Amino acid sequence: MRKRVIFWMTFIGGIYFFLEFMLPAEIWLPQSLLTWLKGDGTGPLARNMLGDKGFIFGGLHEDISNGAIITGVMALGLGLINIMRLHGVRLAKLRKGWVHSAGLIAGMLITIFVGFWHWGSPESVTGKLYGNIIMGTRGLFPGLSSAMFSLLAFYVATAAYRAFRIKSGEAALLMFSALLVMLGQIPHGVVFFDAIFRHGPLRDVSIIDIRMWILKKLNVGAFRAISLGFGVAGLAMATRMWLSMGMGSFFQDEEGK
Amino acid sequence: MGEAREKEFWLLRVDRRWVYLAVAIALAGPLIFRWAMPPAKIGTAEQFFEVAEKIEGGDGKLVLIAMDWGPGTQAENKPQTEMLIRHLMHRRVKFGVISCYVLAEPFLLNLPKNVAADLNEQYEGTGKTWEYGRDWVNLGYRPGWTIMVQGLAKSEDLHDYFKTDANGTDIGEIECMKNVKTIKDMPALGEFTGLVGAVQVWLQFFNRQEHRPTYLHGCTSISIPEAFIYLDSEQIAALQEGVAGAAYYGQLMTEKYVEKGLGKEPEKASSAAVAMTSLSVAHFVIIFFIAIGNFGVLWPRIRRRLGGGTAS
Repeated sequence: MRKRVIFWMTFIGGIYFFLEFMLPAEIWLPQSLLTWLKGDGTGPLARNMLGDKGFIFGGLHEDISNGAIITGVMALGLGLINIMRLHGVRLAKLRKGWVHSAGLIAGMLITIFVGFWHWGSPESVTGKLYGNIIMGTRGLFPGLSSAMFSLLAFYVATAAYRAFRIKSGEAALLMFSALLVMLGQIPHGVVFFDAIFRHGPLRDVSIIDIRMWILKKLNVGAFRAISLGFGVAGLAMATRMWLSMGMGSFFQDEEGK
Repeated sequence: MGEAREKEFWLLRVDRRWVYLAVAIALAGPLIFRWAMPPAKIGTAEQFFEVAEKIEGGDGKLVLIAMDWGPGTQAENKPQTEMLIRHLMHRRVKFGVISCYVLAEPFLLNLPKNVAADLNEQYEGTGKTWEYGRDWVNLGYRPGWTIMVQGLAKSEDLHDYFKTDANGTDIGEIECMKNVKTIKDMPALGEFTGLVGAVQVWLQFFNRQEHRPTYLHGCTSISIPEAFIYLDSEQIAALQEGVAGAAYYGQLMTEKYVEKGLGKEPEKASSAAVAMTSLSVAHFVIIFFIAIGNFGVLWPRIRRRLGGGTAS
């Protein structure tokens, strides 16, 4: 039963959003039918879904969109339950790594508490705590988040040192194109390139133009092909989801498998 | 395996901590000493400046700026967004900031406010002022991504769609929103992000059959290759490429709006130019290590060919 409900809800939801995007804003209807449907013009159908020329398929789109957003937000609640099931149990039974779980749960509870309390009163103590210390541009969370992301700079440097080695023709091509693109976008690169090739046959060539040529000509074609692949794969995945073809594993218990 | 590693030329096994240290010094030096080199000329930034220069302003028009970025990519997206905000404020084009990314919330509030404070200080005594509500509106974080953008584009009454700004003020009471009713009153969209798929959502859904805003996009360096496909197909009118684009855009802004005496005093070295110089030095460190690695690969071969022994 549960499986059927989910199947039909997903199918109807999918087909609604597809048609809403594809159909014209108003679907033409004969004037006589339109007048009959409108009646005295006060009914919900007349007010929201009937225009001057015909039927407005997306007449309730704003409400349906809000409903979808609200359903999506419910995932937050699911996330909370999952965290409590995994880390709460680990903490309660003092299993290995319980200290980290305690930190996670404490952080989550403090953020929820301060987040709820600060609503409507940004000037309150908790409002300031949330707005400045936790989430402010110079606050705890953005600082930690920036620090995590900035680690990439160090990993990229060591990865480049280890990976960009001329061990084959392809590797050499990759390395030289990467070098040219890098040099073409940094001030030192332009100065460096100009200084080296000032007197040679390449004196009229700019590293900026070389970089642009690589990005516009070589890169665009390759990336379009990748994007097309993504698109087709996405379409296939969306179709599977729309037809609930991937939900077998969720219902194994129900089916007694 | 260990034996093979022992035989590796020493240039091939530089400890990663030396690489980390070199990168840290290269990045920190220019940031600490506020060293800014003139940025490299970036053609796309020039195009961005020209497009932003032509955006129509006036009553009943609002440029929407989607700040879909957070602390993780603020090093690149923040100067990009700041430059467009500064440009629009200079041109007196009204704008609204919005985000589909929850971590952007503090930046939605503070970035336009800080730029306005900076301009108010710079133009003090000239009678020119910039203030919230009249020059910009903070529409806040809006959940729902695709559905939100679709709804926004289709809405026949944006006052009803948004209801309030981020501070809880009724949209109808905000001066710059008074005559903005639908997407048709939005001549341009500035979308800044480091997130995969974000720009595609805006490109696909933020338009109508009868109106397609001018799309301006700012991306992080890692997503430049992908952004070029939309620039090439003219789906986006202009692109700011990472912090390099922001740095050059900042220079164009200075040339146009500060050096001609419109501002009271020349602006300090922009944060984008300093960040770019820092990155520039770091790029050279990376190139240096790539060269070392390749020398380590080639040198033993050269020595063997020349009849020498194995390197160690």
